Amino acid sequence: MMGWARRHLITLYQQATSSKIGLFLVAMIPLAWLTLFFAVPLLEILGVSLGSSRRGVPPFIPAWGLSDEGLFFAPNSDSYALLLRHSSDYLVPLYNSTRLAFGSMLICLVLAFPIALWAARARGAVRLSLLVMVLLPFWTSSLLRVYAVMGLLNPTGYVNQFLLFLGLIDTPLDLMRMDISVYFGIVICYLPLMVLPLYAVLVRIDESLYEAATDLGATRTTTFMTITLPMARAGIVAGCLLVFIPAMGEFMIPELLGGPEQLMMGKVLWAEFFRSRDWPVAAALAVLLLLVLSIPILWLRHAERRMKET
Amino acid sequence: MPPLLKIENICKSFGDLPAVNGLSLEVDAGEIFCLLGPSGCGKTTMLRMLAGFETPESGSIMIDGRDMTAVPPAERPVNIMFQNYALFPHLSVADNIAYGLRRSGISGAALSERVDELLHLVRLKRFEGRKPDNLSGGQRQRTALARALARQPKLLLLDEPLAALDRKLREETQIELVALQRQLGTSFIVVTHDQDEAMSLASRIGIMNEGHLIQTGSPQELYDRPENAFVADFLGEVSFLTGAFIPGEPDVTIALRPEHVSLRQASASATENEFDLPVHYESATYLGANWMVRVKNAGGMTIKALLSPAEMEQLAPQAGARLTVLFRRSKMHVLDPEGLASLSGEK
Repeated sequence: MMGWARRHLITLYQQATSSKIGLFLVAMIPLAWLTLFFAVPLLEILGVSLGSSRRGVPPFIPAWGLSDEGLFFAPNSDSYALLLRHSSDYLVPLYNSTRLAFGSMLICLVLAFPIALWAARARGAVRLSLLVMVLLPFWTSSLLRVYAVMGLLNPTGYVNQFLLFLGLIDTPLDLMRMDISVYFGIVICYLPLMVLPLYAVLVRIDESLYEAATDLGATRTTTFMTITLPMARAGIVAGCLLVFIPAMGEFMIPELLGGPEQLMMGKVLWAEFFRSRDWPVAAALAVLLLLVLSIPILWLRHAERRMKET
Repeated sequence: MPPLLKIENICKSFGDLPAVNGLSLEVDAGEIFCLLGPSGCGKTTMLRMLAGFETPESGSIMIDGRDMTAVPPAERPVNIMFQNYALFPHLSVADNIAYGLRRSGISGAALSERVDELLHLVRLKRFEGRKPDNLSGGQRQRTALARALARQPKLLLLDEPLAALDRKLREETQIELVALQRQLGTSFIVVTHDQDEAMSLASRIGIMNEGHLIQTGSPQELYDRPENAFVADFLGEVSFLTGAFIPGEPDVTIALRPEHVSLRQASASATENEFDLPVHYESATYLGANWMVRVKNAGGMTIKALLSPAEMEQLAPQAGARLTVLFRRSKMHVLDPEGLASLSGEK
């Protein structure tokens, strides 16, 4: 039995290291993780959002489920109606979330592209060490990484100490509880999610395409703009969605690194759940946020399909 | 008039491995020159140096009287058609062809006119909007050809241009390629490991082995008068025999083409301008139009003979049967003893 398991593991390892399947696996890990832990909780949240609030544990009656009298199904849309009446209260956090998530996504894209391109065109040990460097931090707790960012950006942190030492500043810069600290945190936590899909598409571009472009008179910049970038489109779209969507609902990073100016949807959701203790309203807010977030996904899928048709 | 391409004493190695070793060559305008050799002989490296993707360690490349050795690929009057065609998968046939033209600043009506002209040249007008993934192998090959010809290079480099096509299509494409070359007058340099391809395409062939250019000449010259055993062996079928074939001189090695060898019953004898050798029958392979028969002499040397089905029927050899090999003195080709060593790879 042990022998079988070991052989099986060795085969898996060999497949993972033989580039194509390995790439597929590497790109699928974050995707599969998101899918699996997404579908079941989603149904649960929908059930809560259509239920009603009560004093007790748990503080709600779901819209459907099993009670002493048997199966019941009694959804109501009260929570949604309440949210729509007070929708203006949620516009500022929604704007903050969009601004910070979109900005972080762009920064991730700009930082991840050269890393992914380098890894895709490198060979052997260089490629491996680049990928490990990208993935390794991903395996540590994001909480630890966020605290590390605090250690960097604090008034007594390394960045300020270094700038003071160089004599570039007299008093420590206020880097915490600002947009910059939130961007810093999101980018550090989400960078691997951008690098991996980019790497997966870039590694599939045949070297001879670059040579053909050069032979036909393209400069390095032109080759990048006309060959690399358009061929990486699928990876750019995947990476941007993988960063933007979870960053929109990010709670911990703005909570630890941001201030009142960086109030994001995640924090509002948290407040509805744990401060107001109105779970159906909180759940309804989560569902509405999800609907808002599905707009860019649907639009991108539509655009992709139209690109394929032409 | 100076030759279009003049390669002088080019050397290139990868690490300790010499890929091209002191190669010199001249190619005239309007030629189809084939670099022919087994895989790993340095022919592709030579082609990549002509395109500008590799820099030679020593020696020079002159095109049209200008030194191109250190000129980047984009500025050479040279284009290359890659073995895998290297078509841009996200661009249509027309956009692939237009790629090089756009890079030289051609746009608008001039661009579409030139692209149209090229589409008609390679008969792809109907497919101009297709992506490479939706094309057949032959259509892809023609797209790659049109794209490489778009900038009107003085020299077109073709890396195994027919290798990715199936047999039937290959023959057709071969004829088209030669016709196209005649029409345009562009010089072609073709790299291939396929002797049939080289023989039918080339006006001249250069045989390469282990980084050396061993012999250059027209297909007929190389086939009929190979300088050494490597060339004889690489182009077509050949048998080697060592013996006292020239009266009063030490033993020589001769090359014999199977079509010049006759097989008779053991009792047959030679006329005065023929040689005869007693052999015994080994095996035969049916090739469709002919039989390739293998026989062995007393010294254990294998001789191949090409027999028509009628001759084969008449001879009807049994395993181990005693036969006589006959060949005309004029058809035996005495090999240069110095070149013989190249059979084992040394020059």
